[in-house]
Formats: sequence, structure tokens, C-alpha cells
Amino acid sequence: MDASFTEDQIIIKDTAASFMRDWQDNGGFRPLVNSSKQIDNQVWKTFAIDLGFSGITIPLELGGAGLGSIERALIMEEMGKVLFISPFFSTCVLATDLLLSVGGNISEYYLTRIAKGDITATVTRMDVHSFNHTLSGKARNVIDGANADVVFAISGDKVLAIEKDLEGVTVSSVESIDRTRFLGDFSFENVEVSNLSDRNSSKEYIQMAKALSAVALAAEQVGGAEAMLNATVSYVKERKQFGKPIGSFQSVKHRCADMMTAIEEARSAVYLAAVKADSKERLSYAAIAKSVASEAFFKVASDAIQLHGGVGVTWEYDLHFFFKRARAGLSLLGTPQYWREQIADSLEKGDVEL
Amino acid sequence: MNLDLSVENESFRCEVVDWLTNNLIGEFEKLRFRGGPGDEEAFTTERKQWEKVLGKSGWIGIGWPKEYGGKNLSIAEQMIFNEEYARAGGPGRSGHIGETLLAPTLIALGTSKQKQRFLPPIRSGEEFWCQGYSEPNAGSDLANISTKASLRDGKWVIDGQKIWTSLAHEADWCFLIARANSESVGREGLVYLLVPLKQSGVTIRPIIQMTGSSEFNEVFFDDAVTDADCIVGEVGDGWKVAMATLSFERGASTLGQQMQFRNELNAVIEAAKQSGAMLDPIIRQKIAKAWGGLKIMRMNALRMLGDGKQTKLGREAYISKLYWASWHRDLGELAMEVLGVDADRVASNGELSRLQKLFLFSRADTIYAGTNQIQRNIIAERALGLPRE
Repeated sequence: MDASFTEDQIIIKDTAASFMRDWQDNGGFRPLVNSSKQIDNQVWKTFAIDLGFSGITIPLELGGAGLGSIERALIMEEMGKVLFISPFFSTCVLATDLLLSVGGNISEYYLTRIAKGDITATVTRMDVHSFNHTLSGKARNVIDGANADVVFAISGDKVLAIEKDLEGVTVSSVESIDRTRFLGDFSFENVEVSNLSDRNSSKEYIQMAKALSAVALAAEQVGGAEAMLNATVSYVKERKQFGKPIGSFQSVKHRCADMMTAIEEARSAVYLAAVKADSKERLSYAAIAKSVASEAFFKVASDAIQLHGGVGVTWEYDLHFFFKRARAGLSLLGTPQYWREQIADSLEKGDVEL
Repeated sequence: MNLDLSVENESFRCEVVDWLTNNLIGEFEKLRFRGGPGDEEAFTTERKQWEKVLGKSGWIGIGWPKEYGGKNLSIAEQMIFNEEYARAGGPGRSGHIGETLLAPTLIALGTSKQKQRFLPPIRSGEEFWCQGYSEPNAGSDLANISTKASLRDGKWVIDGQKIWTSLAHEADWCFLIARANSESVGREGLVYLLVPLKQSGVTIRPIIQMTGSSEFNEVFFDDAVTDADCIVGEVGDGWKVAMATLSFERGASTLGQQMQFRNELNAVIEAAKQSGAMLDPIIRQKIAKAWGGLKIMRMNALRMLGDGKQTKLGREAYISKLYWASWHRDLGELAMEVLGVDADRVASNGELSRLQKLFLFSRADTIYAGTNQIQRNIIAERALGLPRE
């Protein structure tokens, strides 16, 4: 038993961190936010293919790196610190987790392509009233919807693979308050699709995938919160009022201390959930991670704005981008309330150890 | 990062469970789940007997090096022992101050004579210790102590008053800090002394807490004496040694404390099921949050202990006290909520229930060993590097 990271895990974290620093030095998220582009292809190619991160959790036999939730959490944490804009979350978290969980030949085909960096993908839920190998319907607020090559639609216990260039697929970009994560709306008209879920109890697999993805998202939220704390600590050390740095005043200090406490709490929750990703209690641990980390990020981002004073509410400072992502992340993949209810349910049924 | 226990660890766990099953019986059966916070007056004599049983089987000082009579157990094994002890309802430990605070201090900074004199009776459960730090005018501002110590005719003579001294009324000895140089202020000029309590110069007065029971005391020193060599470190090192002692509070024993918390949360959930509060969506949210907090606390401790080779305090170590104290206080409030209309009702034998004690005692958690406010100052200044006020 050892809660410290292995050497390999540290190398992955350092590699991701150094990539993110370079990205930040080259302007970070601002150029993409200010353009109509959603993906910087050169950056994505380097990250996905050259560093091999697109297949991080995909098994070796499908061309991936064969690693797990811990390694991916470390990468997501570094991404969160700089609000890295890429299809990683939609492709290598949402879609990958769903495909790995559901399994089967078609899933493996797509996983191989994701590992290679050939395609980007995303996931949506939608109501399908009738399904007979052709699909008609709409899907809203799909993460990276407008830039993904393939969308996997969950409907009841079915998982449908829809390639974007198929006839009958229409997609449009939707403006979102969080400028660093893109949303798209789909409309499908008699599209030929394949059903991936040939297994029984798909709902359980789908829920499992959601839990794993929630842990990755929670890791990103820890990174985002940490960046907000760092920015705030630097600011309150520099900014003087009443002849002293405001960081010397206890009202400011104590809020910074609470920010740090919330972050370390969330970090422990995320690492624990990542370690437990293969255990039978993973759902409950993911529930802790997502509820705690998303609330921590929102709290820390709000506090960061407050402690920056007037400049905190300007467009010029980066804080609002983090704040907006934090707000969107509270609802994404299940609210804190939803996940806590899952825990309460497990505790009541005795499905999870105290 | 791997939180699984090895095969050896699992067989050690069985050893601990077997030992507890075979020993926490007979005259000791009634001690199960007794003597914890708010219940410290329960069976004090029997609990001291129990300490001797623990000592005889080598369960005190399990992490100490073998040369001092310890078992030199790994962090994982210490954790297993502490967890199983609490799971079995092992009684509140009368000897934990000596075992977990003084002993590591002596092992690190004591003379060989001090180690020979003081470690064996701690390890055998025969001598009990208390910690004399706080004074009426030195609470959060601990360096403001005014208890005096002077060397006269080959003895340290101590005059002054300590307060909030846990378990002093059950202790044989006190390790304390006092001012050797009366001109000095703050952290300078202090000594760290080992003082016997069974002497005419020492008066101990229990403080009745809001639970109606007493864990804390006032301790008066009126020309109390101790031998000249009962000083740890040199004259002037008192502050440094005292801080070293505090750093040992963050050991594997915190994992045992968490198992006690787990037992309490279990009692809260059971009470919620009985009272029907478990059907209330808001209570469910709070229970789920408490469960998550408990798991986080354990993970946080595991991160802090790491591979056992950590030299520098990580951020997870800085938040430890603030986090568990606040969590425990919140659990006390939740306990009252789930008891509903019966929360305020005292049983006909006049004794508070475990959950009522939990609620009342946990108000002290966010105060002793560094208030939440002091913890936030420490986090801000030492972990985040913000300037002093």
C-alpha cells in the first residue's frame, strides 16, 4: 500500500504539464476563443498522436497505451490548469469510456481509430421513439458536437454510432457561456446507424462509463481550481491597500486557506476515485469525486473573483473563463446533488462499505 | 499509487483481529466502544488495566524502532492495527499521549538516559502522560506562556499554571514548556521539561465541560520540582522541541481516529433509518456528504503518510486538522438532526447517548490543538506563503 505516484505516473504528469506550459506560452486558450475555430489541428496532433495521449486508457491490443484512470486524471488535472481546448474530453473521456464499457466489435473498431488519433468523437443522450437501423431525432448541447467526427447516442439501453458525414446528419454550433468548451446541436433524419450495445444490462455499463468520465472531469476541475488559487495568492501578495499587501489581512488569508482546503479535499477525492476505478464500489467513489471537485472548483473560482476585486470581473483577466467553466461543470455529467443521492441510495441498500 | 493491501498485510490484519477477539473479552468486554471523546470518565481503572494487556502483547509503540522495544511496523501495518482496534470498539486509549506524542519526541531528541527511563513504562502501559502547553494567557498565542522554571540545587523548580490539560487527572507525568529566562519573550528562553505529577507542588483541578464530564484540567505548579536532567534539548530549545512533538500528531494514529468517526457515522445512519430521517432528501444529501468526507479524510491521511519517506509537509498535511475537526463538528449537528424530536431528551438514567455526547464534545474539536482560525493562518502563511499580519 502506497499512496504516492509511481515513476511512470510522474513522467506522464510532467509530460502533460510541460506541454500545457508551452501551449500557455503560445497564447493558451485566447487565440481559439477569439476565432471561429474549435480545434487547433497542429496542437491536437502533437498531443494525441506524438505524445500518444489519445489512447491513454485504450488497451494495448487496440493500439492504446493501456493505462488507467489515475494516469488520465493526472493529464486532465494539467489540462484544467490552463483550460486546454481540445477534443480530449469528448473523445478520450466521454466516447472512450462509453466504448470500453459497452464493448463489442464496433466499439473496438472506433477505439482503435481513437487511439491512432484518426477520429474525434463525442457522446450524447437522446430520446429515440422508433429505431429500425435508421434514426430520426434531435440532440442538444452535445459537447464538441460541431467538431466531432463521430457521435455516440445513448437512448435507453441502446448506444448508436453516427458518423457525421452520413446523409441526414445536420449539426450546428451553439454559443455557450463557457467559451472554452463547445456545444453543438444535432438533427438526424433517417440516418443509417449501427447499434453497439449487443449486451444485456447496457444501462449498467452506460452508468459505469458516466462514472469513469465524471472522475476525469473532476480531475480537470481540481486543476482549474488550483490555477485559480495560484493566481489569487500571487495577486493578494502584490496588491496593496492600507499600505500593506491585502494577503496579510486575515479575512483574505482565511478565504485563501479555505480555497486550498477545498482543493486538497477534492484532490484526495479524485485520486481515490481513480484508484477505485476498477472496484465494485467505483460508482460511489466517482460520486464523491464529481460532487466534491465540481463544488470546489466553483467555490474557488468565485472566491478568486472576489479576492481580485474590480479586475476580477473584467474580460481582460482570465478568471471569468475559469468561473464559467466551473459553473458549466457543476451540471455536466450529473450535479453534486444527483451524485450524493446515488451515495445515499448505496448506503441505504448496503451496497457500499462505510 | 496502490491502495491494496499485500498478502502479508492481510495476514497481519487477521492476527490483529484474532488478538482483539481473544483479549477484549471477560472483564474487558464492557469497555468496548467506551472511553472515547465525551466519555473519558468511563471505566478509567479498567482501561488502565487494559493498557497493560496491550503493552504485554507488544501493541503499544508498534511503530517505534526495535531498539526501543517497538515492532518497527510499516505505515500500512500501523494503519491496520489502528483501524481494527477502532472497528472492534477498542476502548479510548489512556496512554496515547505518552505513546504518540512524548515517545516519538524522546526517540528523536531525548538523551539515551531519558529513553531508558521513560520509554519502557510507556510501552508497557504503566506510566501515563499529559501535555502541558496551554495557559490562561497562552492559548492560540502559545509562545506567550509565563510558567517559570529555574534550576536550584540541582533541580528544576516550576511555578505557574497550565490549562486545558487533557487527562492530567489520569496522568503520572507531564511534559511541559516553561520560561527558563524570565527576561525572555515569545519563543526564546523556553525549556521542555518532564515533570512528575504525584508531588505536593502540583494541584490538578478537572474542568467540567458542556458534556458534564471532564477530559480537560487546570494544573497548578507551586514550587513543583523535577530532576535537572529531565529537560529535552537544551535551555532555549523548548519551542523547537514542543513543535517537534506537535508534528507527531499527524501519524498513523489519525487513521484509528477515523475508524472511530466511521463508527459514529454508522450510528448516525442507523438512527436516521430508525427515526425515518433517512427518507428526507436533505438529510440524505448530508449523510452522503459525511460518508464522502470520511473517505476523503482517509485518502488524505494516506497521501500524507505516502511511502513513509516524506520529509516535507505537503498541502494535504496542512489541511488535516481543519478538515477533520470541521467534519466531526458537522457530524455532531447531523446527529441531532436525525434524532429529531428526541434529540433534546435525556435518557431516564441521566446519561447522554453516544450521539448527544458526540454533538456536545465535537464543539471542542475546532478549538483545541489549534483552532480553525489558527489552522487557517498556518495554511495561509506556511503552505501558501502569505505575509504575516
